[in-house]
This record gives sequence, C-alpha cells and structure tokens, in this order.
Amino acid sequence: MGDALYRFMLRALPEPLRHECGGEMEELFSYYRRQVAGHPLQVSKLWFDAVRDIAVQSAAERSARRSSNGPFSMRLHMRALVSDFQHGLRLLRRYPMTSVLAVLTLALGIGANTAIFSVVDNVLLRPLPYPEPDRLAMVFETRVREGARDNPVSPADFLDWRRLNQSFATLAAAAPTIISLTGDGEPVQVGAAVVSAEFFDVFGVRPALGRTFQPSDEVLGQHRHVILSNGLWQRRFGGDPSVIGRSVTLNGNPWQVVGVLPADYRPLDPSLDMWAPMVLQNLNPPPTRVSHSIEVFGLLKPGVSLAQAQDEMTRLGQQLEQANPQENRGHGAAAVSMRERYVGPVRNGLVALFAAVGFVLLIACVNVANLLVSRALSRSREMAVRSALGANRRRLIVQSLVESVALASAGGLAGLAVAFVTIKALPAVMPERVSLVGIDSLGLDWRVLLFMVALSLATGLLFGLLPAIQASKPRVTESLKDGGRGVPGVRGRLRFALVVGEVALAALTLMGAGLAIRSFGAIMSQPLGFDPHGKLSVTLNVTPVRYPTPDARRLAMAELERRLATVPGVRAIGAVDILPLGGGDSRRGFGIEGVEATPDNPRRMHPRTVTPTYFSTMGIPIIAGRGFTTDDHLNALPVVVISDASAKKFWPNGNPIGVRIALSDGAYRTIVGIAGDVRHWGLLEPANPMLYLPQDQFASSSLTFVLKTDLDPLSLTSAARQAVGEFDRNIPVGDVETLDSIVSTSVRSERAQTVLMAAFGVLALGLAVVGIYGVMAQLALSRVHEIGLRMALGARPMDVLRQLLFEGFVQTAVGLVLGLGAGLYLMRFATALLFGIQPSDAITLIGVTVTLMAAALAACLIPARRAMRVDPVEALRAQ
Amino acid sequence: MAPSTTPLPAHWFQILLALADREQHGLAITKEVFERTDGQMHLWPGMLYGALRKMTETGLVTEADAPADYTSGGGRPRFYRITPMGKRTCASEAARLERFVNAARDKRLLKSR
Repeated sequence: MGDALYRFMLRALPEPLRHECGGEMEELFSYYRRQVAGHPLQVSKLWFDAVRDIAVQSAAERSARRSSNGPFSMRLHMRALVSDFQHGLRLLRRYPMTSVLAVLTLALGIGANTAIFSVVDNVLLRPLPYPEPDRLAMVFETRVREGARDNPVSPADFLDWRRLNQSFATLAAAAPTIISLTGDGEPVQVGAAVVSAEFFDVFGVRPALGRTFQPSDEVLGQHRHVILSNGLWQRRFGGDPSVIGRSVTLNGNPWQVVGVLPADYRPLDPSLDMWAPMVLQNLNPPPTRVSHSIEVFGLLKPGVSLAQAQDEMTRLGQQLEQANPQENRGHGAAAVSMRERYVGPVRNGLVALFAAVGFVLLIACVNVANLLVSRALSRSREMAVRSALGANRRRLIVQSLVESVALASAGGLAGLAVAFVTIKALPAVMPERVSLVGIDSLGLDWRVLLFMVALSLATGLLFGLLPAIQASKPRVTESLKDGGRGVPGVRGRLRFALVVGEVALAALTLMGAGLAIRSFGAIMSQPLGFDPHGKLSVTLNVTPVRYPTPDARRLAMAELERRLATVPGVRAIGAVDILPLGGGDSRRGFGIEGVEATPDNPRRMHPRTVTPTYFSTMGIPIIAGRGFTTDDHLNALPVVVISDASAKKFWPNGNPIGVRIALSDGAYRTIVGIAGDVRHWGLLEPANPMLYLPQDQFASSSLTFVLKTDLDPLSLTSAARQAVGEFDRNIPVGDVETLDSIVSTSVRSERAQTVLMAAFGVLALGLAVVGIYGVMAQLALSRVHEIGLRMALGARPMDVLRQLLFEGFVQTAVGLVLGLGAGLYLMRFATALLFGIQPSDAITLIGVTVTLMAAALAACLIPARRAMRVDPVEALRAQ
Repeated sequence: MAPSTTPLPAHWFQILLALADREQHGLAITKEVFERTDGQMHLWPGMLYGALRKMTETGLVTEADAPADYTSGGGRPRFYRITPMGKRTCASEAARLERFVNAARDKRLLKSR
C-alpha cells in the first residue's frame, strides 16, 4: 500500500522525468521500505525524506525547464506572494476598525469550528485506543421476534460460540459487577468486571505488573485471582510493586492479586477498577443458558472481514437454536464492529453540531467579505496606481486573495485562543460515554492545528474572492481623477444575495437550535414516575460471608434502614435493589396461575425488591389495591405489586388484583396492588413492565436506600456513613448521590447537544444581525443623495423609513423561506436526533421566524432612522 | 595524480565509487552505497537521478546498455558507466580524503596499519 502511495506521489514529477526514472524510483523506495520495516520512527523519516525528495526534484526540474523557457521564476513568484502577505498584515493596522471587527468575527468562527473539530476528530475519526482497532467487534444475541438486536448473552451460549467459531482469533466475555473491598483501609465498593480468561488479549493489553488471566482461572476453586487497575493500585495500595501475590478481601472472601494493568489502558467502561475471572469450568450445575448477562467481545482473525464473521455468527446462532429448542427459541447472534457500537449513537449529533458551527463560519465569511468590499473601495486609488504600474488583473486578484488570507491568518491565530478555551470547557458539557476515546485528553494536537490552518486558508480564500474580483475591476481613470469617492458597499443584486444568504444560514442554524431546545424540553417533561427532589441515595451491600443466611441479610438490611431513618433531617426512607436510572436491570419470566404458558410470547417483567416505605418515599403512586406493609413478612402470604405498564400489557381487559403468578422458583405470589410507572431506563425510554417484591419476603443483599429530606440531601452524607459504620464497620458505602443529580446525569448527552446548538444559534443570529446592519448602513449611505432629492421633492421622512424597512423585510423574508425550507429538507436525515417532535414543529418554525424578523428589522431600523434624518439641503450640496 | 582542492559532493563521490569497477543501474548503485555507508547515506531517487544527469552533462558518467546476461524483474533499468574523466575525478577525491586519514593516523587517532 505504501508503494502505491509513493507511485501516486511520483505524479508530482514532470512527465518526462517520471517516464524516464519512475519505475526505478519505485523500486528504490520499495527497497528502502523493506530495510526500515518495523521501525516506526525510521519509517516516518523515510516518508518525510521521500516527500521532500520529490518536492525538491520536481521544483528543480520545473525551474530548470522554466529558465529555459522565459523570465518566470518560482523564487520570484514566492517572494511576491510573501510580500503580498506582509502587505496584507500591514493593512490590518491601516484600517483598525474594520480589521478588529473582521479578526474578531473570524476568530469566533474559526475557533468554534476548530473546537468542534477536535471532538469530531477525537470521537469519529480516530480509531479506538487499542492495537488493531479495526478488527475489534462485539457479538450480541438477537431476538428478532421481540425486536431486540443487542441482547446480552448467556454463559452457555458464549462457551459454544467460543468453541465453535472460526472467524475470531479471540472471543471473550465480560459482565459488570460491584465488589466490596474491605481490609487495607475504608471499605469501598469497587466497579468491576468478571471476564473470561482471554479478555485482555482482545484489547492487546499487557500487564504493568504480574499477569493477566489464563484458562485455569476460569475453573471453579482456582478462580480467586484479581487484577487491579493502575488507578486503584496507586490509590489504595500506594503503587507498591509487592502487591502481586498479596491477599485482599473481596465480598468477604480472600482473593489473590495477580496483576496490575498499565496506566494507559482505557477500558470501555471508565469506572472499572478490578477484573475477576468468569467461572465457566467445573461448574455444577453447568453454566446457564437461560440467564443472560454477558457482553461478548472479539478480535477478528487477520484476513477475516466483519461481514464474514457476521455470516458465521448468524449460522452459529441458528445452530444453537436448533440444538436447544427450549432455551434458545427465537435467539440468533449478530456481530457488530466495536467502533460502530460506541461511536454510532453519537455520530449524528456530532455531525449536526459540526454543520451548525460550519454555518456560523459561513455567516462570518459573508460579514467579512462585506467589510472588505467597503474597505476595498476606499483603496480603489491604491489599486488604480498598481494597475497603472503594470499589474494585470490576475495579479491584482492574487494580491487581494493573499491579503485576505493574511487577514484570515490573523483571525485564525486569534481563533486559537477561542478554540483553546472552548476545548477546555467542553468535557464539562460532554457525556462520559465518549470519554472512552479520550475526550478527557482533548487538546490542540497537531491534527487539530492542521485543520485550523487549512480552515483559515480556505476561509480567507472564500471571503476574499468577492473583494478580490471587485478590487480588480478596471476603474482606473475614475479613481485617479476624483477623490476616490465611489459608492461604498456592494451593488444591488449581489448585496441582496449576500443578505439573503446570511439570513438563510442564520435561519437554518436557529431552526436546529430551536428543534434541539424543543426536543430537550420534550425529554425533560417526560414524567419520571417518581419525585427526585430532596432525595439522597446510599447503596449498601451485605456480603454473604459475614451474613451467610437470607435471614441474617434480611435482619441486617432492616436494621440499616432503621438506623438510617434516625439520621437527623431524614423525613422518610425506603429502599430498592436497583435504583431507577441506575443503568442495571434484570428481567424474569413468570407464569399466571390458570393461564397457559405461551412459549412463543414469553411473559416477562422486570423485578425489583423494595421495602414497604419505598413507594411513599419516592412518591410513586399506588393506583389500585395497596402497596407493601410490615405485615407482608416472611410467614405471611407471598405478595407482589406490579406496575401500571405490566397491568396494561398482561391484563388489558381484566383486573390483575388478586391474580396469582409464579416466578421461576415455582412459588405462587398474589398481586395486591398496581403502582405508577417509573422510567427506569431514563426519560428517553418507555417505562418497562415492573414487578415489585417485598424485601422481607425476598431478601436482597444489595439495596439502595433513598433518604427523603427537606435539607440539602448531600448534607446527610457523613451522618449516613456514620450510622452505617456504627452498625458494621465493614460494610462499604457505595455511591452516595442525590436523585436530582442522577436524573441530570442521565440526560447529560442530550443537554450538551442542546446547549451547544443553542449557543451556535445565538452566535449565528448575532453575526447575521451585525451583517444586516452593516449592509443596510452602507445602503443608506449610498442613497444619501437620492434620499435628499426625494425629500426635497416632498417625500416625507416616514416614507423613506418605510421604504428602507420594506427592503430589509423582503430580504429577510426571502432568506427565511430559503433557510427554513433547506432546514426542513435536511432534518429529514436527522429525525433520530429529535425526541417527541417533528422537524416541522410549528412552535420552532414560528419562533425562528419571529426572532429573525424582529432581529433583522431592528438591524435595519437604526440606519433607516438615520436616513430619515437626512437634511436634503446638505445631501444635495455634498454632490 | 595531484589531489584536487575543491571537494566533490559526497553523494557524487559515492556514486562514482560504485561505478568505478563496473557498470550498474540505479537501484544497484543505491544498494551498494547504502551498504557501504552502513545505512547512513540514503540515495533518494530524485537525488540519485538528478546527480546522474548532472554527472552525465559534465561528462563524469555516461549511459550504457544493459549487459547481455541481465534479466530484470520488469521495467527497463538504465545502466551507467563511469568515464575516464570520472575515474580521474573520483581518484582525485579519494586522494584528497586520504590526506585527512593520514593526518588522523599521524595524530594516533587511527591505528596505523
């Protein structure tokens, strides 16, 4: 491939030379490449030398030929360009007002574009931060009939996939979990993953200390080996190399530390600090095919394409379906590129942002072009002199373009500051998911800087074109004769087109902003199902080692709830095993007493274990029947509460209260109440059918306690920790967060998108207003004479005002129609970005129209009012 | 042969040296120079053919036909042959360099043979 590239580069050489020596030059390059293969530093030096060699050679050749042709010389040409550039920089000082305005405008446009590009580059353009990123894939279970394409996998299926597949060099499994780490300091809950032995091979990770896992670690009884993240090793173990082989207490049991990961490893989930082996061998009963909790990662074999792997996995899925008709009915398998999985969801949003900020730059270009044209006309004398001295039209255009590029360079340099500030501020606003690919290390690296330089160049050429052509028009004699008093500003149709263009772009950007705001509003107005205000969540685990029986755990949790309730400021307390918006979930099948099971359409609900006061503490209404009470204890009738969605889904016509259902453990439980829906997966997802079980009857060893208070919830934190510690010092206190912040974090991504789109909308509007003002002011100025004449002939000032305003109105209206029309067309490709509203949302369209009209009219008003006050006598006299 | 006073460009010298005992084509010259200089001198195609052309113009080398027994792997490489003047120039430069080497030997920087 490199040779092909070199061959392509040889095209830069003049034809005769290439024809003569091209073949040999390729051979030579090949030879050198083979010599330095495997040494990246030397390889890059090789390429650098190759490019330089071709450039020097072709320049030498061309100059050799030229000097035999005529007086043109490359070096003279370059020198002229450089001097034009310097002249352009001097112009900045000569016209300070326009220069400052232009440079500021450009700085905003170029800086904002550079900042967004740094994100686009980081997230969309760079490969995943692992060796061989293009060969990384994920494999999911599909359930076509249920419409699921990325279901987690069962351990038994994974083992079969691992054994039978031919496409992957390595196939590995991972499941998230939380581990309590005690001893060696404060008890903590650590984010962890249980992984199969070859997991780290998929990502090409070599341990910094010790080892990664090996197949024997998957065997039950030999599995108590743990690997630490570099961060945890530093924080908890002081970076001590003797940690390898040390025993640590995890979930109450002793485990041995066998490895520490390198500091530069970026796990897909940034909150992970520990890895433990997934026990897959020697299990009795064997790994389940029914419970699905695993994510599967794979490294494709060299030469195997993703499409081939996808085909094979589909076949394997069918194979397993036939071999296990009970468990795997309707299950298939699908392989997707890992990059696509992580980057795909954010791509559209980023592209929309990049487009919006691009429009802002275009508006800025129009403004600067306008500024330059009015400036050029006051330089028409200078141009006339140059022309008289022999510069032909092409030369004048080139000079003017280079001056524009100089201005753009100044703008770009100033934009560097804008970009820097924006980039530093971005991670606060962007969601964590994209931090996988390094958003925390966003910066002005060389790719971003290169983009900025190229953008400045392109911008300069773009806005410089118009003034260049204007400036080169032959009006020599005119300008030299009188004082150079021409009509400032751009002429008629061109002016109209520029204003219309600006307004259209602003309308487009504002429409994007408006839709984003409306969309976010629709998201936030989704009913959560519970009240997040004034609530603190405290997650606690009681490990089976210290509390070996369900009774012990039940009692411990009850005691913890009692103690936490005594914390001063706590008005109410309840607990649940999986908090809404917590990210985790589970699903269980159930059977209805007396009703046939339907294997093709399994009945499933999402179970939650709650304490009786959970519903009231969270503000979840009981809409039928009753909630749980302390009477629903272990020896009483087994009861459950279902959610409204469950009732509607499984008993659409009847009343579920009193019906008995059975979970997989076979015991029948009576439905005693229906609770309001809770959006567990966030404001964007519908509410799932839920099943609530009382903690007293279904003891969970992990509960999140919700403390309701009128005070600032975080102020309860230390008292809560103390209460837990007084009960048992070895119970780690996990995440302590307010529910408000959990809700807010869950929409962080959408909020970031909205904030940025709104900012760009405002920026676009501001620039357009400034532009319109500038054009109208020039227009009014250019018509001073005409206005004076008309007023002298009897026209009233109001007529003058009205006429100017009318012109402004027409331009704005046309621009609006164009912009909104283009917006409606473009949004068809991006409906996925919107929530709950259509691209043709009436409120947005009306809002944009009103805003833009009002702004444009205000921009026209000032010059129009000034025009009104023209003294006809003065105007006519200044002839 | 009296040593010349103006130094020859280093890569010209290496090329002439490569051609001193036989005709070679471009790739072979480069490989020989690369190996003789322990990978220090990369003769780039542009530089090589530019130099060869200039040396042809000044009469130090000349193009030659490929020898009868030469089989190429595709492409038609051009062979170069050193001219008598080229030989003299190369020898002269070698003599000039020899002076420096002898001075280093006298100062015991290099072991005498």
